Amino acid sequence: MKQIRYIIHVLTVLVLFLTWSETSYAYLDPGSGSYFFQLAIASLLGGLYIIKVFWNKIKSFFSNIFAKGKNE
Amino acid sequence: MNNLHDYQLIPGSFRDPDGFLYWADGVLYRQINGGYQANYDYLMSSGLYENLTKDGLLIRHEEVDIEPARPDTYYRIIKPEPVPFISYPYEWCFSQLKDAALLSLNILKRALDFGMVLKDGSVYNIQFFRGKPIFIDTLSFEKYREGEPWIAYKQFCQHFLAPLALMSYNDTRLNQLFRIYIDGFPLDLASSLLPGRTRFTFSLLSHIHLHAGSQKHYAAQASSLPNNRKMPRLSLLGLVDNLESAVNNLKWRPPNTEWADYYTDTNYSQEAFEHKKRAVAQFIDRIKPKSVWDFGANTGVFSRIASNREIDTIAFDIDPAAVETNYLDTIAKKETSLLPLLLDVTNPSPGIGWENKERISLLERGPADLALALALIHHLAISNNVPVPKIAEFFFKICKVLIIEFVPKTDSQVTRLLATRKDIFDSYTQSSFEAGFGEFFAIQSAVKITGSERVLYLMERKNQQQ
Repeated sequence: MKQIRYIIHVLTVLVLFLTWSETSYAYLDPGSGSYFFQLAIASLLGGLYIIKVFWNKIKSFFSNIFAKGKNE
Repeated sequence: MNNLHDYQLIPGSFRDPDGFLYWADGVLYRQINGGYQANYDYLMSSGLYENLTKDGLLIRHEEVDIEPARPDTYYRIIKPEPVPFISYPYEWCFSQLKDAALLSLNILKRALDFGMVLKDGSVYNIQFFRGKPIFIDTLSFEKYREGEPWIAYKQFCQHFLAPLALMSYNDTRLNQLFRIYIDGFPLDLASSLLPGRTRFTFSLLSHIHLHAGSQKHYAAQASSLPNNRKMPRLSLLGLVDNLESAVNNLKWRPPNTEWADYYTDTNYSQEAFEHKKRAVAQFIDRIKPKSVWDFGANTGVFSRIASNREIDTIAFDIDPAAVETNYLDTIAKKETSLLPLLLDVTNPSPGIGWENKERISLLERGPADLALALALIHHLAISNNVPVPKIAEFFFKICKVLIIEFVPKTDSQVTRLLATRKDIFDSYTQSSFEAGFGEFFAIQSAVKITGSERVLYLMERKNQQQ
């Protein structure tokens, strides 16, 4: 179920990116399908990344406290 | 003005307008074109170059003051540290490709810390150098512009993630698709080949299955790419972090193969085995080669006789499990002179890509100073029906000196090969072996291995084919 929710979320974000105006160029062709998909998936992954970084900070905060406690 | 007649361009270095590689007087140079000036200067001055090279992640170079190959577009000429042997992903085992993928992402993360990004995600930017993967394309870095998506996302998925997923979930031999698809595995192909359960792994579901679906969806539309749609830096970091987890989670454990127990399942006694090792060592000490190619190296027991003497050694084997085991050993022991690679001697890597020259064939990467062909000839002559003179001609093309073991028909390994087939090999004898190789090589020495019927030869290539 978790995976299906992810799919729906990603597809929803994809649909939000369907209109553009200007053009960008580079030596490598990013491929339009890949480009649009990256914008969609990265917005989701960016959110997850914040949570991950935040969680790691909480973990290291508590592990530091416990480490200090053990040392004392 | 164009001085290209004095130089030899590297055939695989033409896509990037920012520069190109070429040989001049036997030395490899890279010309950096004016269009890359700002990025190159930033790479060097921002501290990123120093950060990457001090940890051995990026190849070092020095700026040289020589006449440029193409003065009209020139900004700088650099001389990269030479990589002794260029290898390709269809010659790598699973962990080699995985380490190359992780290196690319590590470099991308460090580049972002310094305000730069990788402008491509090509697997061919990675080589193996002193026992580790290393990034060789100094021109792959460009300034990161806030809000830009990663231009090489598609290429990274095609060159690293899809191949690793297929090797992990389907069959490790699928890395051979690199021989066909020069720009990495098409994602629709990977998506259709991967088992259904990979759709329940978030990273593979997104970066391969949904990604392929998106490519298909947009393939029919001639929509131009926007640059008004921004991707926050945090999203890019999230993407890179997720790709890294995806690669880290892909695993492959070598199964037991026919070669796995090879050294415990031969007719060699311990005494014969030790004698053979001593004889090979004596020959190597006599030749003092700078490069050794060991064909049919298995897990590299004999290759290490050379590499332990700090001779650049390639341990070729046909068995992905043997190459994987050997590679993991080199990493564990921090060996810097041994490179295990996948190779089928009966079908060595061809030249592929544009004009069949972008990735060069095995033969063009030679000749090695010394080749080892130990316990190999019976597989070529009997299992693969290659006549002995043709085997001799092959080695004539790829090495200057050859250490080869003749395995007679009476040897139990050959008897095993002949057990299930008609013996049509009347000419497979020691005298015809010596005659066949004598056409191309001068036999310097022959040592009968104690306690076996095998003979170890040291031969030097004749200057002219007779």
